[in-house]
Amino acid sequence: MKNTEWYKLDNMGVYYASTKDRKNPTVFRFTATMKDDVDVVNLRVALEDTMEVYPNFNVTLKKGLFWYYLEEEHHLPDIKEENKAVCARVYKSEYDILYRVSYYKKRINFEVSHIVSDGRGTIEVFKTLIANYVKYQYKVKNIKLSNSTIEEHSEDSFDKYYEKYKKDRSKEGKIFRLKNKLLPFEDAKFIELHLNCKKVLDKAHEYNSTITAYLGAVLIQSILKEMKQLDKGKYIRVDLPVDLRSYFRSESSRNFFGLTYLSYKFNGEVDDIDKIIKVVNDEMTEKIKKENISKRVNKMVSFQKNFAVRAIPIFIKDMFLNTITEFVDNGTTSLSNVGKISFSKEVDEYVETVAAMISPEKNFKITICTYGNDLVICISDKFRRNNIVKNYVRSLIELDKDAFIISNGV
Amino acid sequence: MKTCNNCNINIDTPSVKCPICGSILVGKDKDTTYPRVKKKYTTFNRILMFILSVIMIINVYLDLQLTNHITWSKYVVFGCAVFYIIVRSIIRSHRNPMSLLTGYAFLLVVLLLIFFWLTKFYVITNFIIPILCLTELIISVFYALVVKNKYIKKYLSVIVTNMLVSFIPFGLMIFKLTTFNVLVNISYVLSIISFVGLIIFDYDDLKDELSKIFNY
Ligand SMILES: [Zn+2]
Repeated sequence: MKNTEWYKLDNMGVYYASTKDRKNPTVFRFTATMKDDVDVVNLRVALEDTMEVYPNFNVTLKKGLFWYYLEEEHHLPDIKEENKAVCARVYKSEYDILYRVSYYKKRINFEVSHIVSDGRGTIEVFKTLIANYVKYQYKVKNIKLSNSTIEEHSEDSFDKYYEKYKKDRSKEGKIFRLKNKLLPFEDAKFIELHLNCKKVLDKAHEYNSTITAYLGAVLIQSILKEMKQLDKGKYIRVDLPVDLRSYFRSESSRNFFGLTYLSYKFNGEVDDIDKIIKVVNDEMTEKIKKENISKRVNKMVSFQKNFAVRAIPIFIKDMFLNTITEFVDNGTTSLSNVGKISFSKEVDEYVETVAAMISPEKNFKITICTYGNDLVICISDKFRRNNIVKNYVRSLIELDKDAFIISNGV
Repeated sequence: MKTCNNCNINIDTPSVKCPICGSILVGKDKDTTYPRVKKKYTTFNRILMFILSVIMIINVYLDLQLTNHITWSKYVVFGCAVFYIIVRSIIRSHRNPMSLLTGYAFLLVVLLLIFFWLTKFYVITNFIIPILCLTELIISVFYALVVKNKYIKKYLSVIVTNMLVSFIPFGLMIFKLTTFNVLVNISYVLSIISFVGLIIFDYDDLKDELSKIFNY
């Protein structure tokens, strides 16, 4: 029997592996709309080529005695026409490869379990897949692909950049959480709002702000409008995943992100957008400083490094992680900007739109990405009626009269 | 694309309602970007649970009506629970015959021990349990060494099973729950031999698997 390659999980992977059996495991999707209908044969060949370069993605999750581990698989998963809910569960048993490729008409969907990687790490794999597909489908030669090595992208960067444990105790008041009727399991609503990037950027610059901060401020404003008088004393907390690759030199395609957040408290007066943006801007510059980010990295890693923790059997760790994160983990909502997605010029020609989305877990989540001048704000929503989303979308539509929505129709 | 006059925006969706405000969209489009996904219910499990529950309730009811006590119905309830566990486990691990086999062997041994404890019927400990363990052992060794099914990557589980299997009849003998020890002895001696054999012949695989399972 051939010995297979295997990997230890990075520390965020540990968390997502332990919580894999929850109702809403975190899965994200990158999707590209091509010029023509997708050819599944070429997509298959493209996937084969891609997984040659990223074998650390073609893995299954196995349970050891103390930790889970990822084991490389020699075959690829089937590529099917899209027939499941968006960001549907990828992990069902220890034989399932932790990503899924599907297609529908012009779209190629690449869905990955958070156990394997984060959004930014998946982008490189997704880009390689699309580039390979263009290469075979349109007979385009000499496409430039990523030049990092297998060692570089299967590196556990958390491990590499771990420093001595520094305690981070940020004190916060009560956090405002949304309660509403949820849609049944797997029936999350996905709304892609396509906006003109330049128009939004201009608006953000008007307030001396960045796109992320501006969109975060508008979100806070939308939430404020829906808060009842009773809740006004609580903090609104918007979780903000931060890509750590931009802070530490890393080419890893595994999980390497930190979490920070924006918090805002109603202060008794009318909260107009100018005031919110000012608060958000200040907070962003403070929180995104390298020292503050690395504090949070260390907090997460220290769990995995702790000698006593390591010796605990995995099923006890599972129970522990499943109970504590239930209370600690979530803010009011989360906003994640995966940034600009760009292909090489030869590939760009055949790609119309790109979108990134994440499963909503319990409430709703926002993922933002930019492709060319197309700013795509993707809202995944578990609520039947969500006035916050309504406020949010409506205030953003005002910026761009040509905005449009693509939705999965749940 | 369809349009929502309420939100004043064009929307591409397979639904007839606006995803933002819920009002009915105007216009028509043939081609939507997302397919209309058919809902798949996990109804099988629910139907199974429902049928078993009905059987159990009717049984307990009839038992109480006819005898005024819970007499035979408790066996029916127990049987239903075992049936449910078996069906679920087949569905769950149909791709891993080894773990299924191991699971059943254990379940059967436990049931037999309960039966023995209730009846003190020595045929169970003298013959049935040792024979069961021997069969399980032979099948698992055969699987691990000969079939080498791609799903049987976990040699360790086979070995652990063997060890446990070997200790069940051994334990019975120690606690003097047997009266005839020939089969018991064969069972645990063979287990130890197969354990040693696996270590000698598949040492590399075993080492590889141990390093994964005990990654620390
Ligand atoms: Zn509407």
